[in-house]
Amino acid sequence: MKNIKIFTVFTLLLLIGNSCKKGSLVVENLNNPDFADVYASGTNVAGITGGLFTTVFNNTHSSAGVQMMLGTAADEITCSYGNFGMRDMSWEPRDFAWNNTAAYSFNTQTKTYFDGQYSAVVTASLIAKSVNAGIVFPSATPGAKASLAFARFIMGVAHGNIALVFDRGFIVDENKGSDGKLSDAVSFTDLATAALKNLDEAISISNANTFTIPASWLSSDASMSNVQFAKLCNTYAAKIMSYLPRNKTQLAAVNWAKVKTYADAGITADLNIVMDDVKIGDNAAYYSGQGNDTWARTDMYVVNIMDPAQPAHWDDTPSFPTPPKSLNPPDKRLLTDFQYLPSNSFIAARGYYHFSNYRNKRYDAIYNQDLWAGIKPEVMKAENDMLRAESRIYGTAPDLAGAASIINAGTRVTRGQLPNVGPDVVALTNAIHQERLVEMAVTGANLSFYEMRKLNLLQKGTPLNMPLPAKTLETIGAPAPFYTFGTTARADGINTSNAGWR
Amino acid sequence: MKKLLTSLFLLVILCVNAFAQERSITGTIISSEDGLPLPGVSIKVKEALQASSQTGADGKFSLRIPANGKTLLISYIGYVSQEVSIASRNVVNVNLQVDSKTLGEVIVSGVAGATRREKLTVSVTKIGEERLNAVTASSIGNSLVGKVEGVRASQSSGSPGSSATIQLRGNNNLPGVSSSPLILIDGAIFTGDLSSINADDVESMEIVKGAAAASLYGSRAGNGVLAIVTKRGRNLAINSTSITVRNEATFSQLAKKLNLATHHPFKLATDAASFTGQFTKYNGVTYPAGYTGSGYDAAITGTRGYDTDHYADNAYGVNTDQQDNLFKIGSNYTNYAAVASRGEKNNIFASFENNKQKGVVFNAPGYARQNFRFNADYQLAKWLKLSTSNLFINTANSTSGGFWTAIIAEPDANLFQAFSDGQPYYLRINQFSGEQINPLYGNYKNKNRTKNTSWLGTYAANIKFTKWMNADLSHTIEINNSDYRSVNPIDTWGLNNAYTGGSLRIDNSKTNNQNTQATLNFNTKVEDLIVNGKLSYLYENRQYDYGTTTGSGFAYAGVEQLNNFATTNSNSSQEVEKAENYFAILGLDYKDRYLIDGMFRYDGSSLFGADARWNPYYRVSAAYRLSQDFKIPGVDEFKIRGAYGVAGIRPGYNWQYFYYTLNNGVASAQQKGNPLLKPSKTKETEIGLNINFLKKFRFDGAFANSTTVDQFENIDVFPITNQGNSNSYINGGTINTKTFEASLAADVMNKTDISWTANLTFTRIRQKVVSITRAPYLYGATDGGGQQMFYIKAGETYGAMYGHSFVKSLDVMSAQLPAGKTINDYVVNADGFVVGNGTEGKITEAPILLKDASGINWYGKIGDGNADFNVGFSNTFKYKNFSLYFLMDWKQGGDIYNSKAQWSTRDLRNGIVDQSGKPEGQKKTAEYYLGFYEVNTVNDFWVENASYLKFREVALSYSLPKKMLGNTLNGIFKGVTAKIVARNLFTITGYSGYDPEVGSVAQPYDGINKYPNYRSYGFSLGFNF
Repeated sequence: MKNIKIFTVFTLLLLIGNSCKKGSLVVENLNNPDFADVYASGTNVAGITGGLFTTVFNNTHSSAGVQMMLGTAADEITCSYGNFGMRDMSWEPRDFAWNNTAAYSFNTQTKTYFDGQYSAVVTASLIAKSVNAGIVFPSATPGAKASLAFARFIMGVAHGNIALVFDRGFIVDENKGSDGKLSDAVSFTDLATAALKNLDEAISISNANTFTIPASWLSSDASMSNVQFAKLCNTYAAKIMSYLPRNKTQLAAVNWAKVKTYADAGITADLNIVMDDVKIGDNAAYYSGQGNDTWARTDMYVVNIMDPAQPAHWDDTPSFPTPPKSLNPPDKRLLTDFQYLPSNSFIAARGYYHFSNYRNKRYDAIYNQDLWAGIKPEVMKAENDMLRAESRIYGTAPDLAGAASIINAGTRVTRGQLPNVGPDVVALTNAIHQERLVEMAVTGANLSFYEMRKLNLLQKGTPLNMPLPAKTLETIGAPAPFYTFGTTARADGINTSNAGWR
Repeated sequence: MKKLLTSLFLLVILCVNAFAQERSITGTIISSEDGLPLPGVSIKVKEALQASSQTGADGKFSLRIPANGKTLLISYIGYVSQEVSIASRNVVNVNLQVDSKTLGEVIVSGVAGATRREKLTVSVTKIGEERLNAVTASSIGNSLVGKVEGVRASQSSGSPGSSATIQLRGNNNLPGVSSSPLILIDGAIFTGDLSSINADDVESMEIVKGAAAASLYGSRAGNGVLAIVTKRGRNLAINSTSITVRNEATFSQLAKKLNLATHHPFKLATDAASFTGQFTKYNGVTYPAGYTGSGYDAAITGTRGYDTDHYADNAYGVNTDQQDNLFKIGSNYTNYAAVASRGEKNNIFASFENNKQKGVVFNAPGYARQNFRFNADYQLAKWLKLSTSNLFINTANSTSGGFWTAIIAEPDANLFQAFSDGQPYYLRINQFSGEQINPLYGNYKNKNRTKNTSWLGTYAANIKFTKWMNADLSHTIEINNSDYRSVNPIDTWGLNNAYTGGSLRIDNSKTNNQNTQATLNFNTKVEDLIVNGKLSYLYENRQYDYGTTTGSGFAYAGVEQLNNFATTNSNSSQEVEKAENYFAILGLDYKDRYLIDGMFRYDGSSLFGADARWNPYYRVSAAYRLSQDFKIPGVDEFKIRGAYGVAGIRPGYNWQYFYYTLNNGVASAQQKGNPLLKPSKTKETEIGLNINFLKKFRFDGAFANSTTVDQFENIDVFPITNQGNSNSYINGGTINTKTFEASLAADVMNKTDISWTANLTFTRIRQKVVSITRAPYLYGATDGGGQQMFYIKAGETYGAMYGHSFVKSLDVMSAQLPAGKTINDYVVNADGFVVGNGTEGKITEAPILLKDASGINWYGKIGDGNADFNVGFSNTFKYKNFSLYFLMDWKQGGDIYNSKAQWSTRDLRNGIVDQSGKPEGQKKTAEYYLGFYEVNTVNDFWVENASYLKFREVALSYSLPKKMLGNTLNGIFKGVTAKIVARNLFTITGYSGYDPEVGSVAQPYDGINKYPNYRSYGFSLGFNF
């Protein structure tokens, strides 16, 4: 017994003597790579580079971001649901200020978009820093030049996205950061300039080197050569320049010659994204009406563009008759890409003006079942064509015939079965407008908003761009109440629309 | 640290040796239970009470006996007191018998050694089986409500298998951190679901309230401790066996339905009356021939619109309360059997319980649970005792829903309409709403179940080294395995009237917690000083594995496996946590009246940041039993006490790390790490008073002031200056809680045939956010996409609701008149809200939002979720073999945010929208009520008083007379008891929802998807053999 007792005491002392053993309580994060690991090797840097576009795409097309509410604000889609800020951005009369407070339940829409885009920008800048520091990329990776070009591409796209949506933003690169003060923010035009600089560098690297961008980096259906990648960068640059204006005055001031240069060097085939709803997906497309008739519908404004026999607006009265189905609309895409809905499922009390009799069904195959997987274009060749045509309408040396030629060779005729358009500025502008709202619907995010904005078509009182998110302003210590846009009282034509299509 | 522990150890030993002495009459007091000496036994001379002594650690005593001394009075907690004649003896040895009645007064949790209630210096309440299981709860988690002062519990959901949320005193933590207490079962830390612990096995529960009392448990005990003790065979007489069988069957039923609208404001077709009983025929809508119900039909053209007056007073073609279709009477049953046996040196207790809870939802499988228990003790040698407690739990649970869609489904919906393929419960039940879907279809089609298996084992040895020192060695194992599987078959219909292709989700998790503890216990007496102490070391090792895989769109029908998808989405994670904890505690009891307690604990955990790995906890407490020195008429016991202590809460697994989030191979910046992250600390000061008086009453009261510092705050960081990361955990804010709690227990009457005992508990808690690091923010559950309303702001009540308000007086309106308006343009309407003059009854009548000084919508405090106070009142009346027990639970004050009512107003389903039966001239339009709905923005219209008086437990029982049992089957039955039981029998409340007990204690929020609480009633029959 004595031995057992001695043994017990010894065990107790051993346990207690184990005290404070250095390192015994160190547990690594088993689930996620830490910051140092991510930039520790060329393989890891290439890995994180490959995820950048996915980050931007998922954030851009997330219903948690701005796409849904900008879609209703643009009268491209209509939905009376409060979700995603859709209703608050589409009141009629359009007299609603964006509630830029942290207490607003949809404050996260702009915050999510802002944070997601900057997450990509900052990560891309750290990748560029690693590349410039000489980190070695194994041969199995696309290499340093591909990584650097891709990082600059992402910085350009994401900086551009911020410039397109917000009134201001922060320029980030590996050499220039921010002190986290509101005073560090630059105007959206300066931000767009920075974005173009990023894209120019991506183009320059792509033109000077030979590499392959793997299909997985763009979640696309094919890899891209450095030449093809340069084309994509050119298209994005043209997009930013073309979509940036907040009004017609700014539209006229765009350097259209430069847009023409970019667009003419742009893509010659669609950038298709292979969505798997696992790694990459566009859930905003579903809520825009793909695969269902219970969420957003196509706004009557767009239906009317395809068939002028349809009303452009559903009047806010219970006696407004449900317009019958178009049997032979001028734009035949109303028959192929859209579904007629004979009755409405929106709550009448929220305004009959939300009602519509059509929805876009072009990508139903992806969304009909719960799979949400399939191929959908993110940037159509048609979009680049419209940029090329547009750059020939405006500027100091218009080429209206050239613009008409491009448009008439495109989807307006091939899919819409619409007659050729002549070399007339108004007709050409309308034709491009129609393609952007009909053909390019449910591709790249927010195109309709940018298109309506620059043509002074957003309803009076609609914000022309969004203020920096309330919680971001809170985080950087900006004084409250935070600035915002929207309402007819603020309609200055610069940050809030003072015009509108109706 | 090692030096400090060594010093404490030596101090204890020195204390023990410094006071040893002897007296003229000597003796030894031992326990009849195990033959071991009992320290601290009180010995007094009956004829001269001032002559008294206590036994030492070896059970020995010495006492000088005065000339008139003839009888010794010997008493000890948990044992039957004895009077022993001294006669001419110089040595008196006594065997004390265990007293099962007073055993319940001995506390062992959070203290230096087994301590009688009267000698506690901190707040620990013990509640025995009799009160816990008067109406046996479905699980131990549901058996505390209303029974213990300072304990707040809320049965937040009626979902079968769910447990009440329990909060001991205040909510010490900012959102994101659980405020549930640490659970110990037979000394083992239990991290599983409290709802899986069957109440029948529980012998007692010790509620260690507040940080001061719980500081002994260190960095896991900031929320207090619930220490559960399960039954063992040790309380039986030697060489006896007892068998218990209990069966209970109850029915469950929704106690109250919501008041829903039975009329609508839409314009009816002129011939609508001709279709009554078939469907609601709206104006402007063309229906296909033979159409019935209200379900979506692609052949319907046109859309319903408002009638001219916009009053919801038009009748539906069919008027069904859809709540009746979802809620049915459910059945529940419990079968319990236990056997206990005691031999000379060992005892065992084994039990089995089968529990099935159906709930009140139509077509839902509910919850099933089996508990297996085996407890045993074996006195291997006089110095060595081995003990084990084992619990194996098997549960299966299926969730159900439809609560929201049953509310918004319009009365003309035919929920039993079939799909084109013959499946029942046609999904899209309203042509004019994409959100009104059949509440029955999901429960019918979705096959989901969570299977859990848990094993909790404690393996312990007690080794006696000396008469005053022994050691406890224990190893505990907790294994929780959970498997969740949810299948929507390939032919599951979607809202687009096409098959979704189905989906499958499989989750599994494994938890393996292994804790090893070694404790040296000291217990001795030196003259008038009793010393209890412990030195302990605890090593914790927690491993957690989680995996989930989902797939959508089955390739082939009938094969519901993951290999039946083209692609699947998988995710897995692991957590490992290691902790080492050292503590020392010393309790001094001088002259049975001066009580001092002190402890120190040092915890190291892998969850703490690398630069904050070890953290200290401590407590000092003291009590003075005045009644030992001063005789107060009618007062049997009078004690004052005070304590100060510190306990903590550990951070989450990955909060300290600087990491990128991996999602399907894509890494993105997420969290800025914090190597300085340390546990939050709750510092509590409490004072208490215990009075026993008139031999019948027992009062306990305490006031506690606790401050929790270094709260965990998950703050937003600016990605641009933080490497792209958007959040970081820091130690930040401070919360202060003040608790006043009291209980009064009474043996009002105690006669042979009739008795009445009562217990009254009172709790009042006030809590405030003293400071936070980040900007004020909202928090709380949103349950289906609602909006948050609980607001964290420095200086504000913790639990405050914030939102908009409406103008209710012309004086207020005059301060916010729009340009061009005068106060004459406004009136106060019949509901008490300011509206435009002349708008009453028109669609322009609308409530007006209150503005602040700058002209924007006022945003401020609109409610407070904290109750003014909680009272529990239980009574047990016994008359011969009959017994009546009931527990009333009263919550006074505190608000609920009725999100369900607000949101259902959007669909014009809230009963307040219904204008039928109202005289003309008093009707309001749908738009008027939609003004209060305010697109689900939080406003004070939907804040309701949550006061209630609930008859929570009622039991009427009858036990067969022992004489009758003795004459039956050779007396095999020792007891037969039949009970009629009821839970939540009825509730008195002004709250308009199903039940004012909704949401958690911290967040009383009635979300749209809440499974309502219900009443249950039934019959229980128990046998003892």
